[in-house]
Amino acid sequence: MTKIDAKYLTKVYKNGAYGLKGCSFSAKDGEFLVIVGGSGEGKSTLLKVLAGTEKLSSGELYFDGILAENISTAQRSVSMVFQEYVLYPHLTVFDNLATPLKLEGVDEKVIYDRVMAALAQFGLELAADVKPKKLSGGEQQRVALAKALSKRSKLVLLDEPMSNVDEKSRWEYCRLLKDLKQVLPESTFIYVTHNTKEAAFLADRIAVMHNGSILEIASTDLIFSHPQNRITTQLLGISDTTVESAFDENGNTRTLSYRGIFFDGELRGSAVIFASQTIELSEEYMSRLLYRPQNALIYLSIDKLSKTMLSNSFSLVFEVVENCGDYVIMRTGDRSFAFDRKTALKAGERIRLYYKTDDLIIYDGDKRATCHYPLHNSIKIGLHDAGGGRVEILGKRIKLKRAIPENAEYVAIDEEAFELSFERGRCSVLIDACLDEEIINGKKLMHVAIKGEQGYLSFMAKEEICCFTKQKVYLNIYPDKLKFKEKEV
Amino acid sequence: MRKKGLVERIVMKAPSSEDFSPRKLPKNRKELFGYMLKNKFGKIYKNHLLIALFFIPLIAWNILSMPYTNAIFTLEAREGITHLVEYWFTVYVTAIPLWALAFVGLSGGLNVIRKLAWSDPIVLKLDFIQGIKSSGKQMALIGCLWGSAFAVIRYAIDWLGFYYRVFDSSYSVVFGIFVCVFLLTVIVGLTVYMTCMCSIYNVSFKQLFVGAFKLYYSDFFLATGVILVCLSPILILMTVGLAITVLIAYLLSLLLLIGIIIIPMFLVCQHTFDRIINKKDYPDYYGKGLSYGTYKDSGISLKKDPSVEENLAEEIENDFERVNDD
Repeated sequence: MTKIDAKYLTKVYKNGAYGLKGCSFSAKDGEFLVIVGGSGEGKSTLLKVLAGTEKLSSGELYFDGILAENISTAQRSVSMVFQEYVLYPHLTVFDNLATPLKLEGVDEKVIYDRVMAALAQFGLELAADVKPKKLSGGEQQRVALAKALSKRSKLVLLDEPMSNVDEKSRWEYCRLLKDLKQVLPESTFIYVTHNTKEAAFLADRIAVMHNGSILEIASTDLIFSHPQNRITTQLLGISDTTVESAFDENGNTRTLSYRGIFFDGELRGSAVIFASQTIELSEEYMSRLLYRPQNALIYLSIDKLSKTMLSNSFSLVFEVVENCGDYVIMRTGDRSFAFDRKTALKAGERIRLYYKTDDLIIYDGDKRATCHYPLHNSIKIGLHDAGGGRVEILGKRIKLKRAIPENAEYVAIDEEAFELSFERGRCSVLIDACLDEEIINGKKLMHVAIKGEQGYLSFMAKEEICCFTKQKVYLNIYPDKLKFKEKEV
Repeated sequence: MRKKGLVERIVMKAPSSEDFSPRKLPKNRKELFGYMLKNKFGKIYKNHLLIALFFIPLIAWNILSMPYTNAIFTLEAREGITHLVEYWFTVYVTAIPLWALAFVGLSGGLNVIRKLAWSDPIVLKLDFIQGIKSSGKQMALIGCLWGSAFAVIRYAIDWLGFYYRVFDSSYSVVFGIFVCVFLLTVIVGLTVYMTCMCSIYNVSFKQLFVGAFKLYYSDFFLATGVILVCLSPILILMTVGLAITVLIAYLLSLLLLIGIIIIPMFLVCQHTFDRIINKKDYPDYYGKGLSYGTYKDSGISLKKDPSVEENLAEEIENDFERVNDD
């Protein structure tokens, strides 16, 4: 079994182009997940990252809860089927299938039995002793599938395997693939395509990929009936005008949601009030708040609703409106949403679901105010000449034109006084390492490490500054705009 | 579709325009021999090395006995003839168990060659051992018989040689040697047919002997011709009789020939088997590895592996915490 959890996966190539950009999703054990997206959206990069052949620039990838960095490529039990026929040309079909098993140290008798059984399943036993060049394109792809079957891989990654196969063989191949999934029910299949028909035929769930990240992910029925984004309708070819009219000016759906539920809320001290509940936020969560919006919108990701009580979580009661088989339409207060799970719940039933407080996201209108990581909003300063206006910030001595307030110990991190740039300013500090970046409020927030400072500091950055660049990045300080604080908040 | 690079195009080549069918296999056994050498030489050579391991004791024994042979044949004829029995016993009779061992190796090697010729996939070690297990005993017996027959005929030839030197009776000696060589050729052919039958069919030793005799007789000239051509490099080098040529013959056998020359011999036997017995009695074996063979079309049917558990992801969730209105 392989359960995949991907969190903010980012891959930046040497030329600075993004392969993946904050890509997050999860794949359940034994599911058939189809990733749909246009060319150059990062689908193949994602598969390579999952296979372990491409290294991540940042982000966390878990297989069955274990961080991928701790699992070697060989240990991942992955089979990959590419759009090209990747078979060893000098080996026979049998040897092509047997080689990975030999490398795993499987007994030769077992290898023979497994390989011949797999070839027989795909009607290729008569071709076992011939070389791949004698096979047609469709047959070569069947060999690649038989390879996955003989290996009994826990994770089967398919990168547009049918793009080189003619139309007639394509559906035969699709049927075989579906049968293979039934033969290997415990294996997780991730299939990349830009063909909507293939996706609809094969998928348990479909993920739409756009610009290096997963735009939305839902069961096949749900994504076709309730696309959450106009881009999804375009990619999946859903041309229903009633569906088209259901999007707002930002291209997001106004109808049933399965990504998240928004509640009107209010921040009061360290608590947030919404849906007639007062939820106490942790200190760590408060430090992730970039600012405190006046009219907060509280966002709950439906993916993260849990059946069981976890630590630091709160509960909400939902009423089942309708069970649609692959998904359930539920309601809490006046908010309706689709719960993308196969359940036995009946209309009218009420259930309690739990949500981790730390997974709440606070919005200010359509701008996010919650960051992924806790923010430090001030930097300790060293005072050298309180009277003359000379301070030391991040190891840099700065002369001020104004007097420093008495008892000032910290300087606030704000957009006006600090700026990350490729250009070195009059007063600047070289960044040791850029650790991560996220888009908040439509602006780029970067978490950086600076020599002499413990942990990391977060600064707003211009869009063109890439976290994973090899260029030197400077933190320019504008002394006149520094805001002093007595103590850290 | 991505454009392929030059190296990729050379190595991978374009896939065939139509699906594979056994009709694409070689049309006859001559083509099959070439196809095997071209496409499966690595496996054939590894198989040869395994067979050669079993031939090492026999060849080593023959090399070790060369000075003794030399000593006997350089003696004065009358004296030599008195030592002939002792020599014969020491060199040829003692070699009979070594022939048996070599034939055990051949049983493994022939099993591999059979699968290669039939276009079946092989796992070399497994198939070699499988061959020894299934026909090793019968092959050892055939080895003993062959070793004995060879010893007797060699004794006859050597005796005739000495007889010629003592009595200078050329006609009777030439006739005698001709009979011996003919007998040896027939026995070689018979042995080849017996070994090939042994590696394919599960029959008693008596049936094996009688069957091989009949089958060899039915294709006598073709089979004899092929066998002589195959053995010719060794025979020529041996007939020259110089120590160096004999050593080269042994070295060539060990390094290359054994595993290769058994292929045409096997194929010619297979040709006879197809003609006489396979078509009627063993249709599954008929033309196997060739385009005209009988092949069962299995089709594609993916069956669920019973050892694999049900897909848990498909299970319907039922354990939600329900809230009662009261």
